[in-house]
Amino acid sequence: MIAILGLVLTVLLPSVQAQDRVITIPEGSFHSVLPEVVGEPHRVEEFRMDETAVTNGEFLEFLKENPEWQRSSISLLFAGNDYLRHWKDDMNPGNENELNRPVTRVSWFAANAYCGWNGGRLPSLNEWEYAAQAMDFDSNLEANRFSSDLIGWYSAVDTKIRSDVGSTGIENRYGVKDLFGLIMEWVEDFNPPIADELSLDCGTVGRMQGDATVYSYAMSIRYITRMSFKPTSSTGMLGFRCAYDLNANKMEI
Amino acid sequence: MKFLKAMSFLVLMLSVSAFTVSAQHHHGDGHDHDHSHDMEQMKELDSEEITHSESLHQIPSTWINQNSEEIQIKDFAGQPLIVVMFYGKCTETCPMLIQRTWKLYSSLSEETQKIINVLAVSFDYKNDTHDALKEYAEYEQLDLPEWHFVTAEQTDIRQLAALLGVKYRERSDGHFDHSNLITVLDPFGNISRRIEGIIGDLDDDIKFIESLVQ
Repeated sequence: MIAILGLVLTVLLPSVQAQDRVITIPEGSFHSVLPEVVGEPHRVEEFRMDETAVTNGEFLEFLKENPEWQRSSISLLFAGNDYLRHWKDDMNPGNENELNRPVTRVSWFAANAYCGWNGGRLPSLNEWEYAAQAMDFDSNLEANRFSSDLIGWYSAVDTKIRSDVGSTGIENRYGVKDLFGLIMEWVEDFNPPIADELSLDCGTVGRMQGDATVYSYAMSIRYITRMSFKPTSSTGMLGFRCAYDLNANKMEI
Repeated sequence: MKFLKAMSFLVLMLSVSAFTVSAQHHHGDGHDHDHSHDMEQMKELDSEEITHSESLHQIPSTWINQNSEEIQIKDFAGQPLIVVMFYGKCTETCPMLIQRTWKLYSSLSEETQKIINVLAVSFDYKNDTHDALKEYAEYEQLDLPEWHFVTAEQTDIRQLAALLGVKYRERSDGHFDHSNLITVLDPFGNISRRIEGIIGDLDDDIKFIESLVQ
């Protein structure tokens, strides 16, 4: 009996721990596609970031302690009618399989509140993009192939997520998983001041690609998609992960 | 349109209570339905309506002002509130934005100035501690009882900015790019006027605020 329990625990525990991992991203700089910064790399200070996106299971814990963010209680100020619409009810994401899948249909306000509750914050746009650019490839060929896969993925992001977090096999050089290939993610300043002058048209996308790196086109798509969000938006392809300042501690869930 | 909505809501409520009455009669408990109970039900529904409105009085965040006092936005319920977002280190547009807010406030009648408050929220949670905000308020000669220069948790500041539609972004040199916006909340906490930019005359805005007070 104990042996069976032990077996169950060894099977279950690693996956739970994996979700709780926080990864340190060393300081550095990256090239943004925004026209405001032609040529100038952006500096990013050292920070920490969740290894994977926040899951339905983790979000459920947040809702237990913060009932005002449950679907039937949330104020219209903080989310539209689509908020967690795919859950069976306030405290039921559907079935067991959903628990390890990324939570989606959460508004920016809910994501922001979750990360604050958890001892962190949402990653800034620059932090997220910096982490996303930290990919190593063996060859140019591999990099180009990845890039075109990415564009394919962005043009057909599924609104029904059927994969667990950590399952894409895509990982940056520090071990942050699924920055692409699973969901789009909220960032703290998803709609930066410059967004007023930009729109999703070919001219703008063309101008944004000043620096032709592997990711610049995919990145342009991300920036422009993000700028179209409202903070109350809750769509099926949009989830989040949290970031932490170096002196902050992630709460144990 | 609003009136129509209110009317149909009332009709709905009346039919709900009518249903309750007939349901109770079906139970045949023999008691006359108490009329005051209907009224109570009505009140409950009313308050439900307000909870789900877009009033910023629902924001649960606690802010700390230049005098280290804790403040919530709902503390200002019942009177209009002027909200502006800035940061203390700013030497470019912020002094102008704060000065513009002062111009707006100081142009109101003396009676209005006594009851209306100004909430000036800093983006810069790292540097604008309550002590730094005290210095800033004194430097700008705005350390007044009705003026609250405040800070809060980073996620609270972002949340308020998102609600007001203020965009901001910290640059690598520690300064912030940000929208220049003064927001007026009505006595119920709803956003009732947005004054954009740092130039232009404020006559209509002043009249508008006076009309909210009366």
